[in-house]
Amino acid sequence: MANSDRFFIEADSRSLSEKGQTVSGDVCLQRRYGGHTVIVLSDGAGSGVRANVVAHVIGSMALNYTLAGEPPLHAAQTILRTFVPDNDRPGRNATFTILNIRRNGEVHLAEAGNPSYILLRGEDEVVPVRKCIHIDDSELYVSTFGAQPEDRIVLLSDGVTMSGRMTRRLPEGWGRAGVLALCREAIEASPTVSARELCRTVIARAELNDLFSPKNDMTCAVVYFRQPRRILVCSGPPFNESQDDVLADMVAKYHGTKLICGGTTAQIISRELKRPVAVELKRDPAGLPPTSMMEGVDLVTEGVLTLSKVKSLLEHASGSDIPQKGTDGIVARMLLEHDVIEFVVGTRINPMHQDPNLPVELELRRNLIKGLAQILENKFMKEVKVQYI
Amino acid sequence: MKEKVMVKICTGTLCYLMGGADLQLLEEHLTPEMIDRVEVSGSPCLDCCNHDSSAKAPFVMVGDRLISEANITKIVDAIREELNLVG
Repeated sequence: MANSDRFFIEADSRSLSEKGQTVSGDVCLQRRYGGHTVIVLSDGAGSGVRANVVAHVIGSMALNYTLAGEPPLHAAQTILRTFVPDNDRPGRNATFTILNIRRNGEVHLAEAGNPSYILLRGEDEVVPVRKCIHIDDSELYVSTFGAQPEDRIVLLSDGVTMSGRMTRRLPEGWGRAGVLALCREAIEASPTVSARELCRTVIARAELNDLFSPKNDMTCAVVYFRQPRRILVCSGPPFNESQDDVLADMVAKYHGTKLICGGTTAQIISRELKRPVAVELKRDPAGLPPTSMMEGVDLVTEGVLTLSKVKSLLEHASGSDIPQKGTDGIVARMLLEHDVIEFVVGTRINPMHQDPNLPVELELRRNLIKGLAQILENKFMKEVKVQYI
Repeated sequence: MKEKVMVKICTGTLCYLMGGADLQLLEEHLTPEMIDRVEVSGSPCLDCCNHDSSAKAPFVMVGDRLISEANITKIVDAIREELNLVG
């Protein structure tokens, strides 16, 4: 949705809270809207619930101002003037980073208090050019640049750069340079490392620096402008049987991962492409029907039951980690590994599925996929296309 | 080598819900003399539920015959009959 044709914007973040705290005082919010991708990393002073609430307020203010079209500078000014430390609320000024990426790849950043962002072009760092603006007694850094494919932007909270402080190995803390070195190392080892993996690598090291008991909340967000990874999800038989060959043709010619969700759908494609389907008769930990294999297709599963489980799994997932071992987990992970998800939904209805005597209620495929697509788009920031056949 | 009886269990949505899930354990119910002469496999959908008929899910194919409202006993009986014919 929010992407130019040249690249997909993959964004992910990882947070760890200070040892002993159940919630993090850092918050990273992200949203895609009308061609913009906005990511806000805010740090509520201190730690614990109070910091978490403050960070959420700052985060959603920044997000909503930006989405409403307010220039980052104005948004930042308002926030800084709202959260001024006084005698009742000692501490520091509001701490946040607003990252706004436009459809054409123009990147705008406004940073207050957080460590400076890191921009990596391939393995090499591009030193940020930041303009400092004084607002009352706080400093705001703004910067603008045009993103290129294979760029990565790394945002950090001070818990990451200060990790390891007071240890013998890193008496001064890990520092921004330490994070940069680790990122370069990771990219060198695997040039297409995803944002998801990279932010986890950074946080894992920061945790290690603090000897596995974080002394501060730590958050790392990574944005990666990459070649989109595509997946085709076919579910449901075409409304008109004359379209069966069109559906099969789509599967045959698609460049990317292919997933078929639906027994009848699989049979149709198997018949049209003359490729046999082999069912793997084994019990699924989630109690779902077994999966099958077909040449040239990455996975074949049953339709509505599996997809409804996948939907509820993704709906309730608190992050992008899906540990479930069943078919629902496999499908959910498969979807999350891709940037562009293209659903092809056959709308023919099997009247037997509407039998009121069925032991469970079968949701209509169309509604089910509409819901799933919304979750993938809004919660997981995927580019989703749905077409009906 | 004697000819084998092919058993195809439908794992489509409807059949699975209507009791097909338990049919996957079929092999555990085969008697020792049957085991070597039966090949159990699955099918994503046998396409039986899409047609108007009085037959009800779950469906299983034993050789060339279609069994509706299948359960383990029905399948085992059918296999026994098939084997007698083949044998």
